Amino acid sequence: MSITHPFEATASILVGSSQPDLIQNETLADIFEATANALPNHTALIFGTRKLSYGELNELSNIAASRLIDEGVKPGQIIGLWLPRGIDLLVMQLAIAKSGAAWLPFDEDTPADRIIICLEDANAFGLITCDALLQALHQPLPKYWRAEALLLPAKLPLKRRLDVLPEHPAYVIYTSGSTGKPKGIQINQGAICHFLRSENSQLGINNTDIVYQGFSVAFDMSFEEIWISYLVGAALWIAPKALSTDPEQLPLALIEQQITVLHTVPTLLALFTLELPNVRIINLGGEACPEALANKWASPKRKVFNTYGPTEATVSASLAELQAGLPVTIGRPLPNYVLLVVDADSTKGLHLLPRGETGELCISGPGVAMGYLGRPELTAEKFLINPFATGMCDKRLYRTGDLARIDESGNVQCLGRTDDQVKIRGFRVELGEIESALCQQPNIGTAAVILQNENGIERLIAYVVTDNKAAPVLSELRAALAESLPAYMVPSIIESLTEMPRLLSGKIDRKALRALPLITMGSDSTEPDTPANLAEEVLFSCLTKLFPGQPIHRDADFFSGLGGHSLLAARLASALRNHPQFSSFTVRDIYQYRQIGRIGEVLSAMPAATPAIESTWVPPSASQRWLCGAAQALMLPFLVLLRMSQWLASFFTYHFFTGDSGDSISVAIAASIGVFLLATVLSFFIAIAGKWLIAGRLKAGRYPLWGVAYFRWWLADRLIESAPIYMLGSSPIYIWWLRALGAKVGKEANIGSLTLRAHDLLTIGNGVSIGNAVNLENARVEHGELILGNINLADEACIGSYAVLEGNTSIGKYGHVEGLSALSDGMHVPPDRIWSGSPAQDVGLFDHQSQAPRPKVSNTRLLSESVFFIMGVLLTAILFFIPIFPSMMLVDKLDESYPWLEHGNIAFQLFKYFLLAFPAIAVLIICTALTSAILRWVVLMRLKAGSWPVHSNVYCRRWLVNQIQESSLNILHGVYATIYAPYWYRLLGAKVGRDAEISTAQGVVPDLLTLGDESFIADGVMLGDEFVEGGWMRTQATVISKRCFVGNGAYIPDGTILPENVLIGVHSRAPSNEVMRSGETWLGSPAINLPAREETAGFPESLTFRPSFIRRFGRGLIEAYRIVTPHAVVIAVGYTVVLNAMPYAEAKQWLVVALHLIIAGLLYGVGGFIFIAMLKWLFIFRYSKRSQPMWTLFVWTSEGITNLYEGLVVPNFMRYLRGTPWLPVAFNALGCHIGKGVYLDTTDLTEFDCVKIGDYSELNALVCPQTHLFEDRIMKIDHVNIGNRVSIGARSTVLYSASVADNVSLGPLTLVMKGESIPANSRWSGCPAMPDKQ
Amino acid sequence: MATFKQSVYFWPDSSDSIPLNQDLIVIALDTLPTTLRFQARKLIRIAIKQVLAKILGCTFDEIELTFELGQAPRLSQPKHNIGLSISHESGLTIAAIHLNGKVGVDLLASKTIPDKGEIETLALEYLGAQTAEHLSRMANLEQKLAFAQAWTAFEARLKCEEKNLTEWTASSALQLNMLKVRSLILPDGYIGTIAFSD
Repeated sequence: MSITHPFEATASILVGSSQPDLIQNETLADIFEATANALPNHTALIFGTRKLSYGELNELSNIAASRLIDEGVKPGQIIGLWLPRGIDLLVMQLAIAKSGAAWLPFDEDTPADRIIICLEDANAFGLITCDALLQALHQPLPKYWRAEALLLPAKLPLKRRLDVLPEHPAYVIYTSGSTGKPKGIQINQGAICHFLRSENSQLGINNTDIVYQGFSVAFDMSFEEIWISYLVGAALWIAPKALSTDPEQLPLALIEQQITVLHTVPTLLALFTLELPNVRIINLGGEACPEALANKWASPKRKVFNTYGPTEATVSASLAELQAGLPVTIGRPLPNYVLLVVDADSTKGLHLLPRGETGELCISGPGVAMGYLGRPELTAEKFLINPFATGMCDKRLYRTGDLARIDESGNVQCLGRTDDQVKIRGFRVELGEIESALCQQPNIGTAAVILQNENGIERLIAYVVTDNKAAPVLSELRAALAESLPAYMVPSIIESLTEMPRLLSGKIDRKALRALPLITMGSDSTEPDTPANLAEEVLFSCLTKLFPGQPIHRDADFFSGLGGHSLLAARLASALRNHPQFSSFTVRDIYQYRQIGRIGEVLSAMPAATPAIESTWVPPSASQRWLCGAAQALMLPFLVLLRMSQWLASFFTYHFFTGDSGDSISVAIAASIGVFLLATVLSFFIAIAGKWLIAGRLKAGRYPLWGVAYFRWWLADRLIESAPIYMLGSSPIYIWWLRALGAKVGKEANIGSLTLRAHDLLTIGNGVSIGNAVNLENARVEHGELILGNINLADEACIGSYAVLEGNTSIGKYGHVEGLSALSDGMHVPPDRIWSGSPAQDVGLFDHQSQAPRPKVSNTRLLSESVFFIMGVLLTAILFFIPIFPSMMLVDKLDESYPWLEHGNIAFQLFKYFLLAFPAIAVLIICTALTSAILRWVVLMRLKAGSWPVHSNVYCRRWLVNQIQESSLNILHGVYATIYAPYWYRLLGAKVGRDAEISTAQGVVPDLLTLGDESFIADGVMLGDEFVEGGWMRTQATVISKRCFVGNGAYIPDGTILPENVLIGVHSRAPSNEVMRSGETWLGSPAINLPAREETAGFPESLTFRPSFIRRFGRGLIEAYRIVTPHAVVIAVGYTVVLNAMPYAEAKQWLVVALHLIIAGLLYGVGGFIFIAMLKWLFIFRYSKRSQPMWTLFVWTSEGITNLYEGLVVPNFMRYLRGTPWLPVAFNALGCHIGKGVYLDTTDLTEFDCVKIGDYSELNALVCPQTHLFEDRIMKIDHVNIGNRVSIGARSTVLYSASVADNVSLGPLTLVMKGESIPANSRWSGCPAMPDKQ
Repeated sequence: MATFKQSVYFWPDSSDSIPLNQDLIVIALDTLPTTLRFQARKLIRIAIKQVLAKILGCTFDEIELTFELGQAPRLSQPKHNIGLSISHESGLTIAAIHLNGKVGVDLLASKTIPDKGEIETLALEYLGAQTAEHLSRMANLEQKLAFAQAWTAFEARLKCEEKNLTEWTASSALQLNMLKVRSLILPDGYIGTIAFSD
């Protein structure tokens, strides 16, 4: 029912409908409990994933209330409430209500000092807070409770409040005070209970609603959210703090949570760009509401209310339902409220203005507070006796300080403030309080703060005048304010002025301040940054093209700041690469660095002008090449003689002392062994002497290919290579050997095995560890030049097995390069860093502190070890030479048994001895295998996994086992990659499963190796070798499970356990055990996991994994032939040569003997080559693209020819042609297509017809055009095309079906994948190949 | 290159028409014409949750999605092998749901496709020489469309494999090409592709 005031028709007074039923004898706790009893299972609170029903909320708050009552809390008291947003906060609020006391709420971010001031000012009984916030309070509180403790389970019965009256305070809210001290407003239970009922009689919220709870409980609009919901039984969704002020995320959350009621401030709603389909009620308040909001949000399905009221009148006093297209007002008073507009001049007393006039708005009704806590004067000024009262509820009124008028339709229009009080984000702010805080800061003389509304966003702007000329540091000023003011009161902008504008009255002229242009809004600047260097110029220019019209700032994020996405990132990377100096920039850099400034820094740091590829180099002339070739050809006989003399000399000696009836076999054997040892030792000294005589001390630099310096280096390299260096590996003798050739090697260095191309240019510090099969390729050929570079390894550096280092590289102290990694020219590993991969990249810090200290070793031990290693080298050499004698005896015996065989020409002799050699080789192989077995199982014990000092007996044993393996290879190398290989590995101690295939594995520690059934180890795999570092050797068990495939040149570190059916690709390093799963494919260094692999189907298992007996037998026969043949050829040639030279020896014509041997050696080498060429052309003819299962004649034949090529032709002939113009000629004879002027330092070519190399290309050491692979036991063959003028670094592999276009440079240890096309004029490196970043 | 075309269902208008029994579902959402994605991001997540709730026969609240920077969104419930992927463009956002494995989706607005010269550079550097050569033989308009299709297929595959964009290499191409792709039926002005594994 509505009532009318006597003056309402003419004067500025509006009376809300009179609804006495809204005024009840109740408290907040009563209201909540009534709902909890009625709807106990209804959802009350939702916060994140936690939900509480009304019943649960009631129970929890009862427990906490009981504890508070126990603690002496009672009606009339004020309890501080300072908790983070969440369910616990609302439970505690309710608990205070249930205890009968009033709460004094603080926002979570309220500075501790302000809390102390307010608690003291309110004479609060205590504070409820939590552990986390308690730490922020620097001074002790007389009484406080931790919410966590209040919520602990309690014993029944719980205590309940007693004698709580509507007149008792319900809450106290502090607002900003103009004197700088906040003021507290106390609202009693009756006022707030009435307000809830009064406002909801207009809003119409009910128990089916889901209400958004976003306001801080320190702001009284939170009552509309929380307590109206409690009144009706609606569900409250408590928004996370960050979300409640985020205009972008909040609407999405409202949609997601299906919110139906939204109480908010207009500023926030104005920023929403999304429709809120579920929201049926929007209640705006706290600030003036723009008309646009009503137009946008009001609809038949959604009510939009604008409520108005100061805290002093209990949240709200008036309400307007907004309609689109109609003016926005604050409407009419809520039921039982009265609004009046009086003369704003307070000196005139309360003078009610006529309708339509503008004056100060006053509020009367049951919501008007009793006054300010402890501010009787201020209370008397603002809270007055209402002279226009008509009933019991409107006896007092409150002067709001807001200017207003009542329009023609009877609605109130709010027109701003009569004083300096403003509202921002719903909080009333006394600007004077901020100014006061500013003036308390050092050097600040005067301060003024204004509220500015720009584009609908309100912000506080402070103007300060300093005491001296020094400008204040704004960040420090803001930080200082934040310590004493809540966040919403810290100005967004602080401007420094030389003088404050003032009115004639002396007051600050705020109008003039509002008119001042802002000059410190740097963060909002639309001006782009200016490029500071060339890199930024290019970057900014590219960005401007990609983001037209957008200012480019260094601090902008490419993606979130500029709105970039992947295609734009790709376009930027491509555009930057168009500039030669940034050609190595990749799109990954954008993802990694993101910020424009950082991308600019990356560009600036790029090495200046990485030449694309040098394409103008002039290849050496043909005459120079062939002149060098001729000189090299002249050297070939001597090199061949050097090699042949090592075995022919002992061969010759044996026969020199046998043949006559009185000759002693024992003497002949002893003499032969003596000569063998002498020849072996001499070969080392000849290499050392030859190196110094021919090459002298090499210097780093560039030398013309095919020039004199090149020739000298080449010859020295060939001489060094001819020595049986494999005998020295992992022993101190190796160090002596390197030093003798010019390398500088420190103390306690441990070197497994390596290739080194320029010994003078290697410096190894103390304690350096180098693994097995490391390639120190500090001499290479590129663009017509031999490039010699230094390699420096500082103390305690460590290189893992199978690593490749080019010249001009270094590793700092304790620096590490992991196995199968590559350092190309110019790469330097800093001290204490670990680099890994190809190309190597920094992967972390090496913590040498965690490494066990290097065990000390006595000089006596060192001396005795030296003797052990020397004796070990000589004895194993002899032991594996001895089996040659039974085989020679057998040949002699057979030869003597059939005198008719003694006649005939050389060809007949060769053929005869070739045939006779077969049973002799069988004896040789059996004897060698038996020797190995006896040594292995009788003399040496099983090696266990663990760590041992390198100066220990275990290390010596491991070395000896390795020596046996290496030495036996002289005889047994043909066994590898055959059906017999598993038996050989089992003999050595490895566990090898059924149908495992093993090609040329290296570094194997047999005792610790397990190969599963049907596993496949391809050529040149480094398989579980020991790891040496810092004076310790570590050995771990290595397991290759069933049906695993390990590709050519792969590296399996010791301790690796490959799960079943895992494929490790060519030149790939097995990753750590933790990441591998059964059936996976890993490729590269570092390895990447390929989700699936190409599987070859279509061939029956009988040709791949399950061959028939006949096929096994057939393969066994062919492979037996291929094992025996190289030895048979050696014996045939040896016998023929020796027996034909013997007459000259007996006549002491030693020169003729030497000449004989040289010619024989050459013929032997050339003969072997012709023999293999004939086999190839006869049985294969031309290799072409094909897929052939493993258990077929073609594969056995092809592999047989390859094995003979590698076992017979390479060691005796082709390897001497490395680095000569003759090698391409020889390969072309075998079917390759190699152009003119090609430099080849590799013999790793197999399916010759499939290899095409263009003119003037350069393939450095161990480069492999890999024309076949075994995958799933299918041999796949295809072409490899290498263009003109291509330069390929050491140990690189180009897989079949790949092509490398003209003028490409590939770095060391690079893998060009199957089917890959490397574009012309580019530089690539890595496993797998990537465009080069250098 | 994708041949079979995948239908796209607009949310929420066509949400009732989504065939919930199909393995592969693509939903689309009209968004504001802005490059800022926060709203689109949130809305598409709501859309995904609603669709998944229907598919799995549970409530909206029971669907929990996790989002980590640089990774595909995931359904928190580990018992499901459901792949999710989202792509945004100014004005349109799409999400792919694969009920039996991983999925990647990518969207490109026609107006953002670069010009001929740049297409050929981008194709060579990111899509490989074969694609670049294929594109270089096309007329301008045809080339733009083909590039957009190849590019979105490339990006969809990358997303499916949760890989960052990198320049083309044979190994990555080998890896990515194992995935199947389908072009999306989209409104004019947009090209999109979905990549998935069986």
